Amino acid sequence: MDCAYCKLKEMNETKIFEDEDIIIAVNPFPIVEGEIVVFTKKHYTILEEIPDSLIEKMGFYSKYFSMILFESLKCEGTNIYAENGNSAGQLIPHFSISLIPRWKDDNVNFSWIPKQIPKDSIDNALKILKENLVFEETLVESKNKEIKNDKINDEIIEENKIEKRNETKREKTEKEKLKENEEEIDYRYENYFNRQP
Amino acid sequence: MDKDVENMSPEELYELQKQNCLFCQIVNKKIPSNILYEDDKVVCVLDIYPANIGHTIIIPKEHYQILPQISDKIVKHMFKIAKHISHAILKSFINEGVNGTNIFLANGAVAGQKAPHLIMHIIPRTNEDKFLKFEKKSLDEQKIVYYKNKVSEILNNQQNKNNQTQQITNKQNNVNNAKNNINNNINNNENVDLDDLNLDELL
Repeated sequence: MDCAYCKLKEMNETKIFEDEDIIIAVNPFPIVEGEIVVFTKKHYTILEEIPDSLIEKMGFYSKYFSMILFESLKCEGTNIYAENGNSAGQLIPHFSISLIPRWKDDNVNFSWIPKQIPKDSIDNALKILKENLVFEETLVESKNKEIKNDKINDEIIEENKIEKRNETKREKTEKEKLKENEEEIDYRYENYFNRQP
Repeated sequence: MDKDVENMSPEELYELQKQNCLFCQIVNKKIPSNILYEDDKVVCVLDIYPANIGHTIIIPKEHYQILPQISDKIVKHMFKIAKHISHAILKSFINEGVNGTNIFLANGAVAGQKAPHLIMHIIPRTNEDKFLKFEKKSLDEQKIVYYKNKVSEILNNQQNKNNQTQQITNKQNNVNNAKNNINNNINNNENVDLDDLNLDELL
């Protein structure tokens, strides 16, 4: 396939880091020199195709390498910037996240003139957005509700299910607490790298 | 009476900043806003200064000023939510000509961060937009290698540091385990054979 990032996978001179899913490289086509690009090994054209677990991982690396940029290029700020679709400025049909080092007076303009939008248009936009914003979690929840509403289901089985669910929930919250404690300890970013994203 | 700012402890200053923070006030519903989505970690609202219709911002509920302060869990969550909101934007505004989105996060004032509360923008884009247009440079190989080496150097330093601390904690764990074993054996009135413990290997 004729995709610049898929080709980049083979090129060691640009690659900074890779794991089983993700590559981090120097962007050969940057907005600002020294820009780093985070992209998936598998070819996904747009953001919406990427599974949740992978986009989370990309987010983790974006944060980590933004901080590496501060130290290595001595920049004064960073932008995390993703272009999704041609109109958003995406030139290579392979979704990526750019980490952009910023300096005072670097003449890069990330601002826009606010649009005046009438109130009823805003209300309407909010309504449509809410309708279209569907998470997998909410789908699962609605399925559970359907099961509960189904009267044919044996009540005892249902009760057992709920009990089990509560049990697993309790275990989860304990685990989460432990995890949270770990996170507090690991707050300094020197420690971030060895932890599994 | 309010204390003088100069005499305040860092915790008090942090609290003061939180009270005056616009985004904290949105999170706490002290300012009315158009809330699209809310969960235990983030609030997503329509931007009051939108670049286009549907422009949404993701606000972490906790008051974080800069990126290194945010926990990995929240960062990951923000990216996941951003993906779903981007999807919703593309589905919702096809008729308005929206066929792309930008995810934008500014970390530091020079990067365009305007308030001391880190937020993430999801900006709907159309072909007619006149903002966020950038000319991409093309780096030659020499420059690419230069930047790669600079970043890799810091990365390797970090990894070495982490490996060292990992090794130290491993050793400490080994010693602790050995101690516990000895204590257990003593408590159980078992004979402790010190020859079984290879201390050289532990340390």
